[in-house]
Amino acid sequence: MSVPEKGGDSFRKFYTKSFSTLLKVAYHITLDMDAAEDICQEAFIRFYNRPFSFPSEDQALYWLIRVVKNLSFNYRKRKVTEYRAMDKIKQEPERIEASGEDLLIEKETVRIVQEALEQLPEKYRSVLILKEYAGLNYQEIGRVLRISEGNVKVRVHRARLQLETLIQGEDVDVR
Amino acid sequence: MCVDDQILSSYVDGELDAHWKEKVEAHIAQCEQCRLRVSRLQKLSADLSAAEPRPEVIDRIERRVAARLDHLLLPGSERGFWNRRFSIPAPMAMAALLCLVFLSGFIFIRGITPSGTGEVGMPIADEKGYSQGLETLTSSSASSMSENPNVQQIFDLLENSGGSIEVRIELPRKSNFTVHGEPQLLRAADYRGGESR
Repeated sequence: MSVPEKGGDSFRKFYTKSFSTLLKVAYHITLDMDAAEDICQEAFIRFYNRPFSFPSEDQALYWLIRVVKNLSFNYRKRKVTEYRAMDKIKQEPERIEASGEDLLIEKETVRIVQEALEQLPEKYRSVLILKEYAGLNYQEIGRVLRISEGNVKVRVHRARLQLETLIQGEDVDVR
Repeated sequence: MCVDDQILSSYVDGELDAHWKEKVEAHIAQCEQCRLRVSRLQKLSADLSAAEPRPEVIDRIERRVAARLDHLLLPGSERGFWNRRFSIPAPMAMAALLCLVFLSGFIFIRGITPSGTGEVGMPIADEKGYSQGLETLTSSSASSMSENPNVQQIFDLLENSGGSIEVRIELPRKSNFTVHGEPQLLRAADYRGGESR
């Protein structure tokens, strides 16, 4: 794979290919689509102005995902601090409007899953988001987070166990 | 004996190698409990996927960000000179400002200071006209006169020549009178309307 250079078609193709993944990662951490949009834009600006090059397109993508993940968690922490200061710990995150006949059930499922995901510790939340929404395998997640593949396997499993517990606490059937 | 839960989690993610995958599948085929556990893990992944943003939303945002990046990341030459941003360090800006203030103050003071040595408050002819008059006087007299004669020298010259000398004093053809300084005798009369002390 070619390394995306500044400007030109390779950069545009890389942008188109990676944007969806980055936006999903940012959205599922921030739970705010506007913030996710801004974070993706900021990440690409940093990517464009970086003073170094990447050995491969994969490495470029891992770097971008890492930047988006860090920016997103920083945003989330800042927002949580602000809400706590306003004595509004329980925030109602911005939702994506769903459409279709099963709108009600889907919205409820989405709400519960997002709230459960939000309560996970950062290290578990990261691996699960990268697995479920960025579509990365264990090896790729390890490269993004700079941890071993075995560590990723353990974290993904523990994240699922905790998520199940949290969702069951909401009395939702996940059979 | 059931399969370890972590292995089932890896199986759901497709992370087991072919050998382990076959073993797990063979076990699941005959173990109700493990089969149920696998389906629960798969359901959890499906529920997480349900929370994904819709593709049309992603497409719209992608186009919007692309347009903004096109604007922000264009090379400087294409954005035009006047749209570029310059940054000047604060100490340098302060020094430049002080220089400007000093320079303008200096020019202002030079502009109001009288350049000649004439008496203050009296209109005087400019030096050019004055020297032209003297030149006429000295040109018609003997060469014994110094270049800058005073009044006494003029009287001496008249006396020695026995009054036969023709003296012609020309006023400057162009009188450029300029006022230097404030008039000294400009004071309003202090009339108090017959008030006695």
